[in-house]
Amino acid sequence: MGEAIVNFLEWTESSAVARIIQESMWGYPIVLSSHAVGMAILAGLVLMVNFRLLGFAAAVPLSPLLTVLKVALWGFVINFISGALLFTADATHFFFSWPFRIKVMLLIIGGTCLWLVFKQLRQIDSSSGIGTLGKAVPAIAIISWTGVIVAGRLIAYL
Amino acid sequence: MQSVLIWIESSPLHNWVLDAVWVFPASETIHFFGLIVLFGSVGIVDLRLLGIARAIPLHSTLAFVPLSLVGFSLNAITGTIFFFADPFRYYPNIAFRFKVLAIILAGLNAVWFKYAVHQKIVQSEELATDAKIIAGLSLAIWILVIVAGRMIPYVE
Repeated sequence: MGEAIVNFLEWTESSAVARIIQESMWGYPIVLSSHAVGMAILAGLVLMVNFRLLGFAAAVPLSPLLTVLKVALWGFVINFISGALLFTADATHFFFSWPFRIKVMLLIIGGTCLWLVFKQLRQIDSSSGIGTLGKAVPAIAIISWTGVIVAGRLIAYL
Repeated sequence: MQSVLIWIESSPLHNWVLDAVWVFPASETIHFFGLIVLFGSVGIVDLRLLGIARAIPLHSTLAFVPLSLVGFSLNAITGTIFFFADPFRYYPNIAFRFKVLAIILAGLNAVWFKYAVHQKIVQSEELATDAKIIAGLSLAIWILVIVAGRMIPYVE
């Protein structure tokens, strides 16, 4: 099992896509820049929507925030692709990196919160309240998305 | 300018950043957090100005503007820490220079917003063309700032 994973990671690193990122002069910086722009779009807008759900900027009605989250999903698409490419270029290092593993776990938690908020916003039609969702989900979302960024930055150091 | 850079290299802040190994990574992490606070708050106002999520009253989005100042302040402080750590590397760096120029442009764009659009939004809901130009420029410039910043380690 362990050996199969290592073989897979090594195969990934030697793939044609990985080669382009590793060897071309601008491949890596371009993918890295895309990952930062996607982060700004995704985490930035998600953070603002969750701030609103906690009661900040209370004059902003809730249901149109669904459209804002749809824009945020474009950031997710950018970062899923650029993140997969970055992983490919250095698969073994990422797989065994603890900050990377924590980042993936926090992404799953943050993603689940996003999905719950999405579902909830779809149901409400007034700006009255956020119903059964309460403030726990937005609070967990803010903590986990912040954690994703902290863990992501620390991959380079730990 | 040379003498300023030399002074920076002999400053207590410079020595502190180099001596305490955690300062640089911690500042980088805060710089990224400041980035999403700044971009997210600016972004939600700009998207609305561009006509996305029209059901949101324009003036209500202005509540996010103070967060832009928070994000900007965090990044001005942490950015200064980076510059103090290695002034002779940042100062001539072409991506760094481009980034500073872009930040100045974003600032001027924000001043334009303040004087040409802000009052109109507070008073009515009418969207002038200049509001859309300002919003589009704002998003484009801040994306350029992010890209230029990420390029600093890869250029001279």
